[in-house]
Amino acid sequence: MNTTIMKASIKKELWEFNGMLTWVPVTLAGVFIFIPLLGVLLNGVDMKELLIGLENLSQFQSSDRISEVFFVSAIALFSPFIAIGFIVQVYYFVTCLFDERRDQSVMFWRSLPVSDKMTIASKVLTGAIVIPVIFFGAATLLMLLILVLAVIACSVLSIGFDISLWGMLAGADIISGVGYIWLTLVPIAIWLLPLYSWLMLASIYANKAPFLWAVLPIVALLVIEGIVVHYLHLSQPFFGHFLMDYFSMTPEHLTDVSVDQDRSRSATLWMLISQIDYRTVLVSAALLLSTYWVRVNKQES
Amino acid sequence: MTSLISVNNVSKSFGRKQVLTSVNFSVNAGQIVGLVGPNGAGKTTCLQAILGLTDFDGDISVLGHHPRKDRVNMLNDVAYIADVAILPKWLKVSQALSYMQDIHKNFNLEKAQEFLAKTNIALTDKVKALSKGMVAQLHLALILAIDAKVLILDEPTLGLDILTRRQFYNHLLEDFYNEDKCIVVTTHQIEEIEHILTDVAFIQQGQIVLAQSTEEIKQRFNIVAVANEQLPQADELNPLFKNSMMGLTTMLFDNQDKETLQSLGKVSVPSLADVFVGVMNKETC
Repeated sequence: MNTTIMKASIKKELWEFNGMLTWVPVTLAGVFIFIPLLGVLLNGVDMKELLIGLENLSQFQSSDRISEVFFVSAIALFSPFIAIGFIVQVYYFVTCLFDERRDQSVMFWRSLPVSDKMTIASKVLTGAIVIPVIFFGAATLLMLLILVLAVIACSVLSIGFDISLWGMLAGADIISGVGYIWLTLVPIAIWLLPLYSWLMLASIYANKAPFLWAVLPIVALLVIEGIVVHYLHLSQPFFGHFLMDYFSMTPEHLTDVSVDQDRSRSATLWMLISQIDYRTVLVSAALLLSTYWVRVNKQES
Repeated sequence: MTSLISVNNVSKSFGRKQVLTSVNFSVNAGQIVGLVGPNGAGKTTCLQAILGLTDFDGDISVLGHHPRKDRVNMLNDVAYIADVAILPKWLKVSQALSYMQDIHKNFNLEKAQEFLAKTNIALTDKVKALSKGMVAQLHLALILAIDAKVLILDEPTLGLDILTRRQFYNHLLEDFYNEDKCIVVTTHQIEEIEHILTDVAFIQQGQIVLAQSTEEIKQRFNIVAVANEQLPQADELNPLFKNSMMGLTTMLFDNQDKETLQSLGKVSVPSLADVFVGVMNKETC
């Protein structure tokens, strides 16, 4: 029953944010498809030069760096989806508990036999996992579309122009490249869980302007801490340093991790995993418990 | 009779403001109780305490469940309609039915669909496209299909026209109510639901000032049209309320001998609204 309720709760979240979760990835994919097409239509294509270029390219298809090039291209394709998806996630977390209180529908939801724990958990799962899955999925579908076009192009080139790029496609190591990108989904979600939890707390606490409630206390704390550090001549601000250290992704974070430095694919994954530590657990747990407490105890009428 | 809701010595305050003070009442199977009081009397807080939506001091038992400690299990057999506006605007009717079926073990999809088929509501409609009356009907359809044992209604027909209000209560009686269930309802339009109530509880400044069956209330209170020359004698009987209009004074009496009252003027049975006004104005009379 709990699994059914969790599924139903996540489905409900997707219904509520259906417009945003459908149109943003579709529009983004559309931009990726139509901007190159527009470029081709406006500037035209010099077929002769293109064929020469492709023929030159076919000389390198046996290179062992093909898979690396493909991986970098895949990251370039996924990055805008991950970045825009993150903005959507932030919007979702800021509004997911605020909107239902603003329109008073929280009274309806809380009159049904779904526990507050289940509600909070379903919202965390939706925002941290399901929304990224939608954006990763959109990027993957776009990549598949591009690969289908690439297969068609390879067929045309090999049949019509005797240029073979099949080796390039075969050496790209597509599945493992995309697989590595997908593997970062859960570590990113866990790493950013303190942020998501904080946004949920702002969402459930604020009576107005939840985004300001999410931002202003942090800014105020940083400014006050900065002033205190300056006047007391302390070495460095604790809170500011904590935020900088936790959320910055620098190569030095890799030094502790025993990975094969050459394997750039796994480097990002290991870097993300190395960011997750006791702070992730403590801060997330404290903020999620606070969100749950406010949910249970705040009078809504 | 089985007591489905039992409220014992319940108090609640928001900061220094005392909202409920030692509230006691119980609701048995078969009862339809009107919880009536002026704005800010504590009606909604009392209902929210019963539903486990707010904390409280004292003891409440709903179908044997503690509303705060066992809220989810309790809500399998308790339904609640707060205000017509509380269904989210983005929700589609089909989604509401699907969600209810997934999360509520007592939800009967066919029953909800049957009810909706009698209305102008389509499964593809979104709540934001429905009128207030239709939203109330949709909410009622969801609640009726739960077949709950306890139904809590907090101003359920607020803002609806009189036809929709009557339709709402008719459906409630025909499609929901039976002698194994109970309904607790708060409303400002007490005269409209007077005929369906079996009991009333008047609440004032967080305290229950009167809780009785409507039959007992009709026997206990009398309204008398007193002629001007009888006013001094009538005043001696401590009327709860008096109202002078066009040379005639009507007075509400509590627990007075009928024969004595008949000697003062024409005696009639007061409406619950008359009794409510009388009881609420007792101190100012």
